[in-house]
Amino acid sequence: MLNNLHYILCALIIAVGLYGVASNSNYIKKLVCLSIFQSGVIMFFLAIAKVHGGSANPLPHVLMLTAIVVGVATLAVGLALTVMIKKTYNTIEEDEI
Amino acid sequence: MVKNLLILEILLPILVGCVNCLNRRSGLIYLITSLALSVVCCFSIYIAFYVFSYGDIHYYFGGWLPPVGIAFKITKLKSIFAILISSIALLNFLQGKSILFNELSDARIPGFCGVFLICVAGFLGVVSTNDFFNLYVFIEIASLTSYALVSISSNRDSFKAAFNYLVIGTIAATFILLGIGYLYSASGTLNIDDFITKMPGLVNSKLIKLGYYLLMTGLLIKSGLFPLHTWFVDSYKASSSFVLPFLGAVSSKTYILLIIILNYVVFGQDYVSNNTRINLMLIIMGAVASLIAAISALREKNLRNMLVFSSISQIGYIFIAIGLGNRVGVIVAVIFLISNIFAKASLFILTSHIFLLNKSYIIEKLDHLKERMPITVALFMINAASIIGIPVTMGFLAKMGLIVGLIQEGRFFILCLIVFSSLISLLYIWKFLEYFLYTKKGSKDIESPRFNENKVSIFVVVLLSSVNLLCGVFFEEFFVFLNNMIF
Repeated sequence: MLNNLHYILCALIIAVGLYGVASNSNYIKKLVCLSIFQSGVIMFFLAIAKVHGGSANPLPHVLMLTAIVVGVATLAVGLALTVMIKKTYNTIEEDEI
Repeated sequence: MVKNLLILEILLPILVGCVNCLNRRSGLIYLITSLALSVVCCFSIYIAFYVFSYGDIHYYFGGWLPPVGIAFKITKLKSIFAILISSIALLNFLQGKSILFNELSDARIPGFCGVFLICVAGFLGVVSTNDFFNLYVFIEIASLTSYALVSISSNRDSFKAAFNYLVIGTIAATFILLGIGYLYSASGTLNIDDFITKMPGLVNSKLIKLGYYLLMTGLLIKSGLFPLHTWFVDSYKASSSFVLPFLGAVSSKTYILLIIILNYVVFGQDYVSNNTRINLMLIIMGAVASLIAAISALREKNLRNMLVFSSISQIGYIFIAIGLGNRVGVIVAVIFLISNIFAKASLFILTSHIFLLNKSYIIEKLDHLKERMPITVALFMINAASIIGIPVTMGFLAKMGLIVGLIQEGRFFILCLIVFSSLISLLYIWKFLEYFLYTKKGSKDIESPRFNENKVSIFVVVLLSSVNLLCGVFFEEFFVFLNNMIF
């Protein structure tokens, strides 16, 4: 149980993020939860990089640098769309549109 | 030399796309973009000729050999899809000048052209890469630019649709990333060829099974299979009529191609049918999708929305074919993909021109279109015949193959559902053709002038439809070609 604690934490973060995306109607909150969801996966990759004896496999870390950049790009596109939604509908609540 | 073309065909559109965004002269940008797309198209055709005569092409980044470095690999099947992606993008770009300049203001065109080019590069990357993580990055490039393309439209709903597309698309891509993580932790490799060689030793691994399921979940969401199709409908309904022929024809089909490659090459049909229940699930979900989407299309009064629902119904057929899990299944799935790309691209191009001249998609406003746009209606009928599956089109070959495959597997209930949904597809196409062809009572006195149909678009659609018909007529040669291409 304690050995797998990091995997359980990753699964929790992923679940919280996914639940947040589905349950929130505010577009900004949706994007924040989407980022949380992605960071759960990023932590999962860092968890599998651990090698017995204290050293770490560098490859997943390098991959996650790219994944973080992709996440930032997604967030930027999402925020740009939110700005345009605010301009068109004058609200960022999904229910009020 | 030809190895470098493989990477240049992706780098060129990305570079030109970035430079495009810095310029402000829309006419010049349009010219540069068309030139870049034609060069990419020539590259992909040359690569395909090379692959068909000398075998697969590999490109190793920086000269690092596969297990260590990132590799590109293009096979016969992938090279054909690279041609389809680049040529549909080029043809759509050439025919759509009037639509593009009509829908968008001059200031937005350079950015739009840039994003369009990067999107093409993303899809080409998805088909050419041979590395799991690289695949994820290219999927994200293609998806992010697709969100942007959907949002650049004169329709005010487009931002909301693009946002929902972004949320669902990102969830799907993250599932793909998680699946890749599981596959990597079980096999210790990211290179797909290396993974295939290690696969026999990992058949019983639970990590591989979970990774496979996660990967499939992500790709199924991205390809718009029935319960997860809402983003598909919303975003394609709201997108501008210029990008629809490209996105509607190419985007989800590329992900379906990936599913075919995963199921039949990477994991292998032995693994998929013995260790997972994906095949049964694909058949059931595909059958439900084809039926429900066909009923939704029947209820639509808007020409474009009808075609979007018809796409979902066709995606259902493709997944039934993939779920058959034998040689017939994979050939039928590929024929379906190719015929769908041709037919849907032409139908969306024709629809966008009908909208440009009539200012409406609504069925009642398109009354006796035959007198106003005779050539358009004739071409519409040919491609609609391919969607329904009437003989001498590629769609007929696909549907016949699907029925033969289902009889071989003994799935008669699914067969009945398919015949039923094909009948519905005949009905929903006929509903529109009736308005196009016949004059309704009471509206006889309207003298309708003949519109000036766009010659370039007619030429492009004639080209696409003639390929469709030629493959249908010379079906024996086509089957030999497909066999050579897939196996």
